[in-house]
Amino acid sequence: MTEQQLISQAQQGATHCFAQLVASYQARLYSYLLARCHDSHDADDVLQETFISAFKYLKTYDAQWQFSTWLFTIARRILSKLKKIYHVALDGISGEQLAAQQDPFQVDRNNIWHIIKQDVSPKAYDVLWFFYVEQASIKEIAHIMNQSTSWVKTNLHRSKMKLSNNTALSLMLEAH
Amino acid sequence: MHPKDMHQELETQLKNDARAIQAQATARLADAAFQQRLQDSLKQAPNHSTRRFRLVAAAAMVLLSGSWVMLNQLAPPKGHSEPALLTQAPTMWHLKPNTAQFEKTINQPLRNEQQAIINDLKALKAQMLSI
Repeated sequence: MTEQQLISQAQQGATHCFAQLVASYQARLYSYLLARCHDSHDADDVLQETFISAFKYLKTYDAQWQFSTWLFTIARRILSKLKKIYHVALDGISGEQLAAQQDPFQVDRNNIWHIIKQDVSPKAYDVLWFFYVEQASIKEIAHIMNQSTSWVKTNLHRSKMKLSNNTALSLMLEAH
Repeated sequence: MHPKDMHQELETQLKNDARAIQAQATARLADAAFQQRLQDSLKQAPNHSTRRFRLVAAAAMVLLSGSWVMLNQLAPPKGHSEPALLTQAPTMWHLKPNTAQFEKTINQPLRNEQQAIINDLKALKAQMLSI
């Protein structure tokens, strides 16, 4: 069964077809969330919420966009909601307490994505991820980010420039 | 390092390190408990369109049954005279107003009938929503 057939069957209420869609996309979504969230528990929650929302609103999916684009758009929306809640919840928790939380699925500190996370804005980080990892087109990225294509191009260019000037990153790349 | 080389190196590194994260994600997703939790939450989540369809169907049924009841009341079936209560009413207008009697013979039966219709509609609605 093709992806489009799976989507239309799932839109008719076939849960087993939706389960196949989940199986196809969960690793891609989870990788993005794992690198983007504070810890794996947040990533778990956002992943779960994303699929629940996708299932609820499957009828609204517009086939002119890739299914992954639609899923990433939902994930980003849920992530931004979580960030707002998270900022409120963080008040009163010390940095030491946060550091004490052991997370076996935390992204390695030497991983380039971890370094980038410290250096660029969350939006710029997302653009880089969708462009290099998801290999999404500028148009698709603009749709996910709810921005214009020029905004995406500019953002991508600026991020590359910024990363080129990052000394730690340059040293790391030279060492490789 | 030349900026062009730097960009090339950066691109390669971005893809390589993303693969490391993807491997982590795949390992975590292989956890059966995590999968079960996800499946359970999906089962609990109602499909938006199905729920909306059910609500629309129930509302349509309630409206249809309401109209049917009203039409039957307005147009008496053939072979019947006016309802007994209505034939009694004109004679009562000539009588001295007796509110207790009026309440007992006219208002109360009408209220009872109205309540019975409301109960029927509620039961029908509940039945439709539980489909």
